[in-house]
Amino acid sequence: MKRRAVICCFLICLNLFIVRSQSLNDTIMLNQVDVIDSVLRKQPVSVMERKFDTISLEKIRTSNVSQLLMTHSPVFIKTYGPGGLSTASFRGTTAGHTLVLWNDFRLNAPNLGQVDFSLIPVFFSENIGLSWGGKTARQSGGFGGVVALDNKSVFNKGFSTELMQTIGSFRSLGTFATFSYSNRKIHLRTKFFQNSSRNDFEFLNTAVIPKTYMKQPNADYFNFGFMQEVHWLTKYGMLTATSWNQWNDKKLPPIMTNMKKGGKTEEYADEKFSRNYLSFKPIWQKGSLLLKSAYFAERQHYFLRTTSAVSDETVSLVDATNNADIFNEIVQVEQQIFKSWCFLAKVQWDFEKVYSNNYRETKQRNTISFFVETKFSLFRDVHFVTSVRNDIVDGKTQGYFPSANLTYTPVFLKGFSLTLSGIKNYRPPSLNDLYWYPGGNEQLNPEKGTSYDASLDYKLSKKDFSINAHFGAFLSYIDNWIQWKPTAYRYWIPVNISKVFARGFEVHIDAMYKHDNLKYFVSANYVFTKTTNEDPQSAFFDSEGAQLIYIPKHHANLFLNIDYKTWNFSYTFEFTGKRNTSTDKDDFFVLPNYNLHHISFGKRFGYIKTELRINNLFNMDYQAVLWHAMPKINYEFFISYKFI
Amino acid sequence: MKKINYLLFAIVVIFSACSKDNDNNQNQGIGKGFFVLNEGTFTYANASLSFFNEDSLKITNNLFFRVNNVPLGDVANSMTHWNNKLYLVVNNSGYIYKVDEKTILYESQLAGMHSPREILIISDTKAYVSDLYEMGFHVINPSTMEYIRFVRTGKSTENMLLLGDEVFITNWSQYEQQMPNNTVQIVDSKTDQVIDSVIVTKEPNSMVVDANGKLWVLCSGGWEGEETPALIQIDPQTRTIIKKLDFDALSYPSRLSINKQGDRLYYINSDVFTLTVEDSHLPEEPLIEAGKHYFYNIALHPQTATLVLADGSGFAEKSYVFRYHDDGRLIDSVQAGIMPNKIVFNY
Repeated sequence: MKRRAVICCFLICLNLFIVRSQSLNDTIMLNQVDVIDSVLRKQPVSVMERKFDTISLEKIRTSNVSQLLMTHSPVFIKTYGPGGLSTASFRGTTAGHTLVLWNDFRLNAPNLGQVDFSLIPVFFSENIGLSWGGKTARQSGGFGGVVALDNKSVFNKGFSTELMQTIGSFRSLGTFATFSYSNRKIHLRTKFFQNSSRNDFEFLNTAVIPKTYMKQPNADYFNFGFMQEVHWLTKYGMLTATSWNQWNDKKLPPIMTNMKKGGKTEEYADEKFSRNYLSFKPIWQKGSLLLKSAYFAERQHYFLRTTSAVSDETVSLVDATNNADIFNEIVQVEQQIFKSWCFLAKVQWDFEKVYSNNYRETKQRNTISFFVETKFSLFRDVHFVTSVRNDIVDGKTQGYFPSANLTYTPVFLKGFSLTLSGIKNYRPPSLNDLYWYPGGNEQLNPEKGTSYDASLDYKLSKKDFSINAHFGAFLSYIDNWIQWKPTAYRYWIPVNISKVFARGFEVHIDAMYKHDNLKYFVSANYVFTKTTNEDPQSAFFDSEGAQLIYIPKHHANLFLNIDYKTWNFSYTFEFTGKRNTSTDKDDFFVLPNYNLHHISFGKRFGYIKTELRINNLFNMDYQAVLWHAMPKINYEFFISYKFI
Repeated sequence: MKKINYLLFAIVVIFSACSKDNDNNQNQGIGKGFFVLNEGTFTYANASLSFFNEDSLKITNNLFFRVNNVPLGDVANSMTHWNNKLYLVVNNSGYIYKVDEKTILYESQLAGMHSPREILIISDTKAYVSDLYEMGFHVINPSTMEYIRFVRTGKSTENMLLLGDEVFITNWSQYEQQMPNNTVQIVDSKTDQVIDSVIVTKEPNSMVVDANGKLWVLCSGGWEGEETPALIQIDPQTRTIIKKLDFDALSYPSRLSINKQGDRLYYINSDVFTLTVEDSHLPEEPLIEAGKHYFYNIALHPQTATLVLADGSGFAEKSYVFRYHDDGRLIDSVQAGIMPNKIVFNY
């Protein structure tokens, strides 16, 4: 009780501090308008994060974040095929445990709790990064880690235009355009994209008798979106307004066993959203204030109609809408107190409102989050970051969630750093878990997780050569894991049933070498993950110690890029280990491991760049999700025009 | 090479079964025991077939996949034994597979239906297939697996039972239908025409015939508990209700079964309950308590007094089949597939 009172007093003081900081803005604001960030960036930072390199991002710019993560990161993507749902498993956790942030705002849908990465174009973000361990402490839910998508302003670049076009197998088309203007004070950028595919690839259906070559039916998709950014460097700080609007229409193909079902099936999902935010960041010599405000309108529509096998009449119809309005407000203050001591405080208010015809009534959730973090250094080579967060959900405190991070950068071993991290976090049930009708369970408790990380990093940067290496190990315990289970009432309900233990290690290496007109870049990832259900009930089902479904123990990828004068060659390799689709130890439905190889050849002609991409080079027949068909070898031609 | 492996597996199944002590000539092949049809998870296509051998007390899982190297399909709903063949009805895949009961080798299929639920064999040349979404039932030839015709009854069809020349069909589902789902329709199996119907309670889900030739219908009362669930006894000759036993409003009873003497009924209402056909009240105390289990189906041994119960509480994991004495004492349990459902004895 005494401890709680102390923490409450601390949080009240924090609020006062924030208010005071705001009131002091006018008096300590710098007049130098060209300063766009504070000196705090020079403080030692945790190594529990990684930004994707520009070469990888550039190479995969016309694709989606699902493809980026699959081929350039340790994150495993469970994909239902091109254009289909793609969710992430980060460090042995499931889709709902990977937090996705766009400029600090959560993209995880409040009704589902997860993100479909196939709907996020890489093209819309300048910076994409991963973070884990103590770096996930600022928000709830990122047990596995955080995928951060950020937009970056540039000034004094004048006008620039970039147009990109792709054309590929299965009538796939993609058009991308960027128009940008910036001077010393303003940066305006507009981006458009559109991609579509008939997606009717041929595959061998091994799930029917006799095994037959078929064309994937009902799998076409169409996506369109635009983003408008305004960055204005005022004399008080940076003012940013960004609007991301997108329309996604996709049909949903049947699974391989159901290709001979009678009647006609019309099944599709339409999604549209408008994500908008405004931010203002005044800075001063040793600190900054960040004010952010966002409004997201998410609209989802699912439609399923089947007709009789003996007539044209409709015999089943599902026409469901799931709409959400989300407001986020963030106030964050960062201040360097002493030379080696920084302090950060953040208050965030999230309001989520879901209108669904799968709920009995409109449901909403209010979350107020208080977060404080200190960074300080001991001696020259030991750096600490500690934080604590308290979330209040609909008036009920969820407890205090601390994190601690220690980084040791020995002066006698230049380039090396050792990091240890521990964090407690929680994830509230999704609104579907709570209110879906029928089955939603309002008695659900939040999932609670504890994670420990250790990593060794090495960085070396020379004029013609650089290398980054990361070796990390992790342990995560998640309690109250929410799982939907069948009941005697013919529908399923979610229950807090499992204790899950995820552990493993990962390796990332990237290296660059330049020699005359040759430039080599290689990036490789490997992750070993063991995730098991430790609930006593799992012993009853003989699934104790079995790997959880759709989490491969082994996942690896490699990317090689070679530039020679105006020529370019790249090779991408991905390995996905076998995956359980059931937790049985002797399961017959284990998906075998597969290797995929992709190559591309490119040539630049002044402002024009061309490229031929060959995906699934060795025509591999594989399944990423049980009995969901995947395309074999396919081709894509890319051309771009960039005028600066 | 794989084909040789599957063939060898089938041969091993046959010979291992033949080496057992079989008193009954009909049991040549896979042996004495029972098949378990594991429904699997909707849209996961992980349905499977298991067989429990009562001599070795061992269960063999994933039989269909092991022998035929293809998945059974998406939501295996029911299974019928006829003339040394097994008919496996795969609901969400829209087909029926016919396999040899001794080897489980695939023989033929009938695809192209919308949502087949159960198959009732009437003769060598005629079988009825009920359908969850169609407003009637399909007539097929079970020998050739050819489609004959669709018979429109105005309601979707579920559970079927042959009494003489008449087929009693429950109208269980009301999904996307205007007609009420509170009837048992009677079809003349010679003409395939509906000749009558009896109004019962909403969602009649299962039927049995007792030793006195009376029809018992168990009704769960509706998806949202619109009506009081009831167990109803019907005179199939006069097609009138003899007695009706009401459950508590919050109950959801299902899976009515009867013992080999035809004088004792069993059903699942979370727990397992039993009563005699003469009782005028429903039992208050269960015969077997479910505890943490979710009893999904029940079957009565055709020769002994053994009850077999399927536990459907697994989602992504295999679940259990339990054997009990008729007094509720547990004999043993074995792990079958995901969502074990229909149990068919091989005697």
